[in-house]
Parts: sequence; C-alpha cells; structure tokens
Amino acid sequence: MASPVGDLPQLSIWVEVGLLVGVPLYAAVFAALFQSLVGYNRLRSSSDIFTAVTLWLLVPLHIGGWLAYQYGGSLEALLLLTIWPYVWLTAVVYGLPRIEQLRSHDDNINFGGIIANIVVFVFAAAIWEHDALTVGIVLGAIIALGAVGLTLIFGVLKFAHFAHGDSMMLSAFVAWLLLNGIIVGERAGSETTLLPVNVNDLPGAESAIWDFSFGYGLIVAMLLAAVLTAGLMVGIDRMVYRRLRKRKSDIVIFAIASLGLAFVMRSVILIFWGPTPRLYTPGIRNRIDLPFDVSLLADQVFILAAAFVVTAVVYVLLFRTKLGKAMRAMADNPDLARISGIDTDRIITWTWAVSGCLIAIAGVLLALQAHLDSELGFTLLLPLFAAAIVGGLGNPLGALVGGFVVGITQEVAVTFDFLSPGYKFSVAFAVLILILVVRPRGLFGERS
Amino acid sequence: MTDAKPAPVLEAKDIVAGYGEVDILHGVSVTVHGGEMVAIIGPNGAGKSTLLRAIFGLLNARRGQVSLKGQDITNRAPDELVLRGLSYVPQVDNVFPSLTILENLEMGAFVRETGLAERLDRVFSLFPDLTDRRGEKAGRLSGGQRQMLALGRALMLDPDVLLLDEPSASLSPKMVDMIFDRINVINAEGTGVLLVEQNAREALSVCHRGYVLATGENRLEGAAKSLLDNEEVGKLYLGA
Ligand SMILES: Nc1ncnc2c1ncn2[C@@H]1O[C@H](COP(=O)(O)OP(=O)(O)O)[C@@H](O)[C@H]1O
Ligand SMILES: [Mg+2]
Repeated sequence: MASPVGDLPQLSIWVEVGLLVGVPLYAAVFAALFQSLVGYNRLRSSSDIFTAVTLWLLVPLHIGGWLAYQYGGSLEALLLLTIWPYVWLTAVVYGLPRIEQLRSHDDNINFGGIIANIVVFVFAAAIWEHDALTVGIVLGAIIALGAVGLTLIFGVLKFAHFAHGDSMMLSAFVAWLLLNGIIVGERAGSETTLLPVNVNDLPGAESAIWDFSFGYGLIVAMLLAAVLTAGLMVGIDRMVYRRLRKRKSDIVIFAIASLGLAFVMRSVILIFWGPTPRLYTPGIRNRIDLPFDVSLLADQVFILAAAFVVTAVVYVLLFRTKLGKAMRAMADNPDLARISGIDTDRIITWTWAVSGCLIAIAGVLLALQAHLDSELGFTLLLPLFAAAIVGGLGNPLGALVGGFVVGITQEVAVTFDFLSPGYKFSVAFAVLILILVVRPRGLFGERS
Repeated sequence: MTDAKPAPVLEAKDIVAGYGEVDILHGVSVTVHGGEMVAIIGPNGAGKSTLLRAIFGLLNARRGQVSLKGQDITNRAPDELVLRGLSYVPQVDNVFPSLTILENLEMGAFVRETGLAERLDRVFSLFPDLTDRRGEKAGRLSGGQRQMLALGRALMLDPDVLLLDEPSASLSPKMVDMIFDRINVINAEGTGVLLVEQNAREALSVCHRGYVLATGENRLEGAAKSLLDNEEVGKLYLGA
C-alpha cells in the first residue's frame, strides 16, 4: 500500500489485530480493575465516567489510528475526525449531567498531592523539554483566559457554553477585519471588499513595536474587538438565553443552543473569510533568547504579558469590586443572591460582557500564537473545558491554574516519542479524567 | 403584651400558594406587629416554609395579600422587598460558601451602599465569633456560625421584619440557645421577627405570639404562653 505521507511503518497483521481488539479489551479490563480497586461506591460517578471514556474514546481512537496507518492518509486529520464525535458524545451524554454530582462528591484525596505532582511534572519538563514547556506556558495562558470566561459563564448561568471556542475565533477574525478592513476574503469569482476605514490606516499603526511582528494597530484592534464581542455576547444573551431563562428551560437546552450558535459563528467566519488560514501581519516573527537556554518568539512574550495584565484586571474585578463579588455570589448560590436583593439580570449581563472581553483577547492571542483559522476555535473547546473542570467549575482561580496545567501537559506530552502531535487534545482529556477521578470537584472546587 | 398593639408591620392575609397545579397553602393569614416576635409552628410539611417563600415573593401567591407597613407587596420581587425592609433567611444554603464572611455581609447590603461600615459593626458586635474570621470563607464555618452569618447577612439592610426559616435546625442544644438569644437581642432592638420552627417549645418560649399551621391552614393562634399551655398543642407538637 503506497503511502502519500512517506515512510510510515508497515504494521504486521497481528499488530493491527492487537491494536483493534487488544487495546479496547485492555481498556475494559483496566476500567473494571480500577473500579474494584478503588471501590465502586466511593467513586461511583467518576468511575462511571472513566469506564465510559475508556470504552467510548479509546476504541474509536485506536480504530482511527489503525485506519490512518492502513490508508496512509493524513494521520492527524483522520485521528481527530474519528475521535471528535465520540469525545463530544461522551462529554455531553456522560459528563454534563454528572458535573454537579461530581462537584458534590465527597473525596479525601490530598489536594497537595495533585499540586505536588503538577510541580514535579513542570519541573521535569523544565529540565528535559523546556522548549515544549515554553510553548505550553504560552498556550496555557491563552487557554486560561478562555477558561476563566467559560467558568464565569458556567458559574453564573449554570450551563456549558459550547460556543466559547468559536466565539474566540470569531472575535479574532473581527479584530482582523478591523485591522485590515477586509470584509470578504479572496475566493473564486468574488472581489476582496474593504471597509472604508481600518485600524491600519492610523499613522504608524503597522510599524512593528520592539521585536513584535505587529504594530500598535493590532492592540487597538484587539481592544475594539473586545468591546464588540462584549456587545455581541450581551446581544446574544438578550436574543437567545434570556428567552430560555424566561421559559425556565432546562440547562441542557441552553447548552444545545450554544452549540448551535457555535456552528453559526463558524459559518459566519467561513462565509466572510473562507477556510484559508491567515495571519494578522506579514511581519517577521523574531525569536528572542532568554537566560537558561530559553528562547521564544517575541510575539509570545506579548501573549504572556497581555494574559498577565488581563488576568490581573479580572482578579481585581472579581475580588475587589462589588460587581465581581456579586458574580461570585451568584455562582455560589443564585437563589440566595436573589434573596439578598442582587439584581440577577444585571449580573448576568455583566458576566457576558466580561466573558466577551476575555473571549476576544484570548481569541486574538490564540490567532497570534497559531493563526486565524475557522476550525481552531472548536478544536480549542476541549482544552478550555478541561481547564475549567480541572480547576473546579465556576472557580476563576481554578480555571487559571487549569489552563496552565492543560496547556503545559499537552505540549510536553506530545514530545514523548510514543505520542503523535495529533493526540494533543486527547492529552487534555486524559488530564481531565485523571483529575476528576482523584478529585471530582476539581482542584479548587468547593465541597458543597 | 398589652391589648393596644402597635400597627401591623407585616400582614399576610388569606394566602393561597403552591407548586405546579397543587395548592399547599389554602388561605393562611399571619400578622407581625411592630417589634413583635411571632412563631409559626406546625408539623413537617404543614407549609411553613412555603408560606415564607410566598411572603417573600419567591413563590407566586395565587390569592391573598401581603402588606408591609401598610403597603401592598404581594408577589413583588425580592430586590424590591429588601429595599422596603423585609429580609429572609432560608433554612438551608443560606450563605455563599466560597465568599468570605465579610463578602457575604457585603452581599446582604448589595442594594444599599451607604452606611455599610456602621451596619457591619452592628453585625460583628451581635456575633463576635464572626469578627475574627471575617476574611475566611463561609464554607469553612461550623453549622452554628453559618447560621449567625446568615442572620448577619439578612440584617445588613436593617430590616423592619426578619423572616427566619428554622434557624435552629440541626444545631446542638447549646447553639440553639445561643441563636435564640441573638434573635431575641435583634428583636429587642426593634426588628419584627417571623420565626418558623419545628422546635416548638423553644420557639414559643422566646416569642410573643404564635400560630399553629397544619396542612396549609391556620389551626390555632394566640399568645405564646397560652399556646404552650394549650392541651392540643402540647399533645401534638410538644410531646407532652
Ligand atoms: N419545590 C417544591 N415542589 C413541590 N412541592 C413542594 C416543594 N417544596 C415543598 N413542597 C411540598 O409542600 C408541602 C409543604 O412543604 P413546606 O412548606 O416545606 O413544609 P414545612 O416547611 O412546614 O415543613 C410539602 O408537602 C412538600 O412536599
Ligand atoms: Mg420547612
């Protein structure tokens, strides 16, 4: 069988059979063993998830891997294609209804133990894989920003916002539109249409600052996009979610509605700007060297700095202002918030506005780190959810830590020889499952 | 209590309310006069909590009228009620666990910014236990301290009437005495109290008047002392 991607190893029939039958079998046996070891009662809901995931995820994962080798097609693409539906099915069918249950699940696993493991892992990565660690930290910062918004929305509105990743990418494209003024991207039979004015028209907006690949125009466009996205999110809430609230719809309906909006947003990107990946600027991406043999792109320094500033602002907002405290209060106990006289509708509006800003900034930073790509947002959804859940759903500080845990683990894990980069997002999932098993309420989740 | 009572501050008349299609309350009336402390006792499932929820606008009153200081407040939203001088402490989940004690109290005063410091001082002097722990998360508090914080949160707007749903539930006897003592102090400072209790003997011994509720209807009412001595009440609720 000729392989278009070059010299993939040809596997013997027995290895293939082993992969197809052996691995799922192993997974099932392992799941059963795990349950009997840990005690079915003590960790029932998490081992349910564990079983579900091993059966639902690993099986297609390996069939996908087998097919990929068989046909020599694009390994990553095929893997992702095969895994995604099952990941989602598992997450939705098994995960969501149980999140509350998981959070209330009592556990006595040492929090310090997990933190110690994370520290050791990061430390080891710093020694052996510090390039991957650097990228992981940058990616972690982006995931963290997104996850903080996600966890805020979950906390205040109690539903899983599936449009989070696509909103991020849509705002990234909005920033791109503001920057370059390109309304309709190049495609067969249509001309590129331009906005009458754009940010790059500002004097000196395009001339690169320091070693960055961009000028101050991108920062302006990012901030404008933040405002627009905040408005968009509030608008969507008025048009969609508030109506559902009025009807007292089940949270599953909210989640499905957001999934629908995710598709809408991705389609909007495709309609206007097409599937071609893009960059904000054609500028050179300078690499800079730091002490301890660390080197990273100048743009990544910007990403880290921006994420730091935004995090600080969000921290002050949540912990030092009345509005932020009311958001946290609502996340804790919406009924009591209402009883205390807190105007819950106003808090919800502000939650969307704040999350919208976070979405836009995270989106622009993501596009800066990778590129503008209609598919990227949805792909990022799993790491986002993993980060939010790992940190303890509804807890912003947890989401922040979770973002870094997921980002770093992803990047470092795929440097191991046995993991292809296509498994990156399965790593996020694995981290999620692992932490849910040992600490169902997440790192910083409150015991209820 | 003399016969010339002060005007009623809270009056619920002929309340009908329930969940879904089912009516739980079939025309219940209670009155709290200025500075009065009133107990509502009755068996489990009598509709005591439902009555408080209907008064506080958390549950739609299908019939009847609630008035506060002479003004109609039937089915008004809680954010309006707290501004008008009514506060409610639910039986469970009555603090924000991941917020600090101080933040919990601040949330109690959400609708009014001015005079926050004085009102905080008052709550901390009522509950000195909370003072040293003001930076700690409410989720860490013991049951009794939680109940104190819940009371404190409700006091943050200086209400005219406090609705309390079983503040003594699942507390140790010592804590029960402590909580009732504090409620007494709050009442002595002029706040009207409508207290729902299973713990009938304890409640009637601290309150001025009492109502006995059963299957969503007023069964008995009168001065707390006379209810304590009442044979039927004794048999049914005091285990005498
Ligand atoms: N959310 C609810 N939905 C349906 N029925 C309820 C609900 N809450 C209480 N009930 C019913 O209303 C009745 C009165 O309950 P409740 O007011 O809590 O009684 P009490 O506080 O006197 O023990 C009970 O029969 C109870 O089952
Ligand atoms: Mg009750």
